[in-house]
Amino acid sequence: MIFSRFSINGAVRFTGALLFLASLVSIYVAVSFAPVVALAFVAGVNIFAVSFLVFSVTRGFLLPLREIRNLVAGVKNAGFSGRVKEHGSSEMRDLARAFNIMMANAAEAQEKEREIERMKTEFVSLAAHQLRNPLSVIRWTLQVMLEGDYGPVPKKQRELLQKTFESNESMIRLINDLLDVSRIEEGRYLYEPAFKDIVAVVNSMADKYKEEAERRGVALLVQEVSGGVPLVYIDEEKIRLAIQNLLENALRYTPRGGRVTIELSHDTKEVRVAVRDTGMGIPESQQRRVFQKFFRATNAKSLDSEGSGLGLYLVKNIIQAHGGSVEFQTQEGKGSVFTLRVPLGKIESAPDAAGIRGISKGA
Amino acid sequence: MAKILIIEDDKFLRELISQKVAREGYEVLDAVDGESGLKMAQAESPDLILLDLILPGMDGFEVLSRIKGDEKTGKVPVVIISNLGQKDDVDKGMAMGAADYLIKAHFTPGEIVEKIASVLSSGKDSAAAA
Repeated sequence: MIFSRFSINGAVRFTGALLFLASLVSIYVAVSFAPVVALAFVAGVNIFAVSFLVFSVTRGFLLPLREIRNLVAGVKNAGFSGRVKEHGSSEMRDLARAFNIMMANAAEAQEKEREIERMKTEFVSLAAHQLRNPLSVIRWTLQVMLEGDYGPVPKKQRELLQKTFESNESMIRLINDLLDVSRIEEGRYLYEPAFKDIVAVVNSMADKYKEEAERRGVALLVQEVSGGVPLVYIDEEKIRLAIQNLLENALRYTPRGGRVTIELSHDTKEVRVAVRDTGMGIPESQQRRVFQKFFRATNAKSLDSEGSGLGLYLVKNIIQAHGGSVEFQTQEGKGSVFTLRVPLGKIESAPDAAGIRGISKGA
Repeated sequence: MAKILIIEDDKFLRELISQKVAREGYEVLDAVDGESGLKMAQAESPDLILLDLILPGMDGFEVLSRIKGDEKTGKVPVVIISNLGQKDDVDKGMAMGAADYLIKAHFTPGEIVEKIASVLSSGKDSAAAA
């Protein structure tokens, strides 16, 4: 270090022409002047001194500066954990030291922020777990009363008990959704994919919601647009949850006499499951926020108080984890269609792919 | 008359389910924690055990493994009733030999009673077949 600093002074004395100001600007000036200076020296002064000058500038300023630049460029991927070596000229050492302190502070701030985020997620998860017990107690109590275990229940009271039971049910659903969201955010939402027949999954989901659709006076249909849908590499439980969320939304926001259709189609790249409804749609001004946590369209909110606003956030996370995407088209007052696109890519890379691709389901 | 042992620490839930099960004509025993539940399982030889997982002291998984590990109680069907609804927990419970796994928030006492009846009758079927 001392050597390089000394040599700069020496070089300056040799040329007797250039003054080095200890600022970043001057480094570049020095570099751009280097050829000029070199020419002067070739004209007969001292070639050795020039190479020495270049060498010193490089060692004293350019190398340390390049290290800082590289570290800054790497922050995006590597975070604030890196430090630069404090070497070069005294100004560069000061700069490096200050830079390292700044990096340390930034790392600390980031760690604190992560800690708060972790605590928040943990709190939600703990609170949700703790809430499940009392909610179960309420559920059980209302249920045994409704079943008449403690004597007959007059009609008006039954109605109120039934409504309370339903509110409690939606609270349980909210808690379950919150637990799923906190698992996603903690990275604990684990996927166990296997090759599954998505046609069977869709049909069984449609069966599950048949009764509710009838109760709501909405027609529920499954339409296989393209026959022979191949097996897909999915976590069946999660895909069921995604389809369930789309179906519940479609049924909830489609008026009596409407229609909900699940359309299945595929090509060589992907399988698409679209849930189409003739419901209220989503106002244009709010369409950007559809997949955000706790988003609920204003027209939906005025209709009922059931939704948690977490469903589509979950759907998006689930489908993205499968390497797919979710799209929607909607028109206020006319209806919506939400499409899950699940790629077939993984099937081709699987060892037993040949047999699987051969399997086909009748349309 | 089949004898049902209920191991559940929440007083209110325990009473609700006990009454429901008793109303169906079963003999009901109950325990508030794992230790007393285990003792009762050995002393009273119940026909079925309803087991909560989050218990003070010894947890439900531990209770389950001891029930299954003891030759006196090893064959008694154990139905888990818990609010731990994660797939991992369900898989773990089933792998440890539970006859079924019911998530409290998803089942009502009526459905639990139905489950008890079906587990008891399938036990009888397999005993008859053996």
